[in-house]
Amino acid sequence: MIRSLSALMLLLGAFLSQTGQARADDGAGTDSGGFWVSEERHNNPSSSVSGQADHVTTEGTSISADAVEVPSCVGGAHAVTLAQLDLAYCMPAEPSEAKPAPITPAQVRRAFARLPLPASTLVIQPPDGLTLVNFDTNFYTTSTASITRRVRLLGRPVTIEATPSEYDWQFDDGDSLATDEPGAPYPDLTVTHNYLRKGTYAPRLDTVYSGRFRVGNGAWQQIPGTVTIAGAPQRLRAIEAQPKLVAPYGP
Amino acid sequence: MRRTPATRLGTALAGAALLLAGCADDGEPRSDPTWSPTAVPESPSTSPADAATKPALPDAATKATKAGAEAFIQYYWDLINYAEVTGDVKPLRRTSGSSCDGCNDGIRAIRKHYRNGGHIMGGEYRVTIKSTEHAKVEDNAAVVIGAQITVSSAEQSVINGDGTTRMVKPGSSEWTLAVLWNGDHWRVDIMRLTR
Repeated sequence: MIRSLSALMLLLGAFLSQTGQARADDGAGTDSGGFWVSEERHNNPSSSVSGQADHVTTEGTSISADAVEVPSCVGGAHAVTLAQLDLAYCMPAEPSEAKPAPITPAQVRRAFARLPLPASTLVIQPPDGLTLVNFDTNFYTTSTASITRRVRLLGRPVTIEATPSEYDWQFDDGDSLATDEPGAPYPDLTVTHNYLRKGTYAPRLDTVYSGRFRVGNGAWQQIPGTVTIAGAPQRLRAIEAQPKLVAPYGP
Repeated sequence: MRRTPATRLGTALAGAALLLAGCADDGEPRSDPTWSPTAVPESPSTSPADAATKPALPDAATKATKAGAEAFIQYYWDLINYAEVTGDVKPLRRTSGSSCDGCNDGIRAIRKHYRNGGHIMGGEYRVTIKSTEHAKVEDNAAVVIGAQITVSSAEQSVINGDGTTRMVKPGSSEWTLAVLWNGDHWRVDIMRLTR
């Protein structure tokens, strides 16, 4: 029995000396408890001395250890309180929670103005760059389709749809005409011009685009303002017609 | 299986009980042929060599429960063990909140030590969870669990890039942690050394 008790005492003594060693190490300085622990003690020396830091402030997270008061959190952060652990802090909002900044029509307007929209193709009849003075020269374009472009604004996908809404016909003789229709091929003469004097002209067609946009699959919204794309001038010679008798009546 | 101070005490007492049970009143060893020891000495499952193996997330740590949080905290300290002896801090980064300064301080220190040509041997941590608590989260259904833990560590050699060695004595420290269930996994948001 005496031997049994001795063995028990030895075992308990070994155990207690082990735990006693651990306690002694607690206050032994920074070079105990492992690399991770000693680094944390180095960074927050107060926590290793007092055991309970009065206030620890971390990046975006404030901790109050002396009283569990629900903190006032800003920027969408959520207050987290752990009463038994005497811990309260602000949990930053998840990116999915954060409301994205609204995309304004003005921002889209600037993106719209930078879009590489095409100029309209100008067709002139009669063809081959030759027409007559005092003659209904016909102008039209086949460029009537809407153009869709996708851009990213503030990191979000934005679809911009540009539609020709007005055509500015520049006849290069001091006259111009604005229409909302694209003209039509002969014989449906809807946009015509009479050159009153013979000469060489450089008519062109400017296209005025209106636009609308939507963010992702959201609702379409009108883009304020318009964008005008100047067309390439075409060479057109206006000549005078002269009556001339030909055989079998002529010489 | 991890050995904690609590289990050590249990082992010691069990051993003492066995010694008592194994002795007859006259001090002679018990000769009962049906008796055999049922308690065997425990040995830690994670040896220093094991610490160099990237820990796998246990199934228990994939549940948004207190038990899940406790398993995750154990796993997190396994990751610290792994990072200290290998320098690989990526798994720790993935399981630490960006605003967890207590996490990031340690991660940065390990990374810097290895970048400077140093390495670390030994010093395995063992975690005992003292208490856990469900947090109240304002205006949010997030699951946050706080825990008080005790971490004991073995002796450690911190070998610096210049070849000098710093011995880190075994010790015990206490921490407060808050872990957040982030939809399908846990992460550490608060890690504070309290003692």
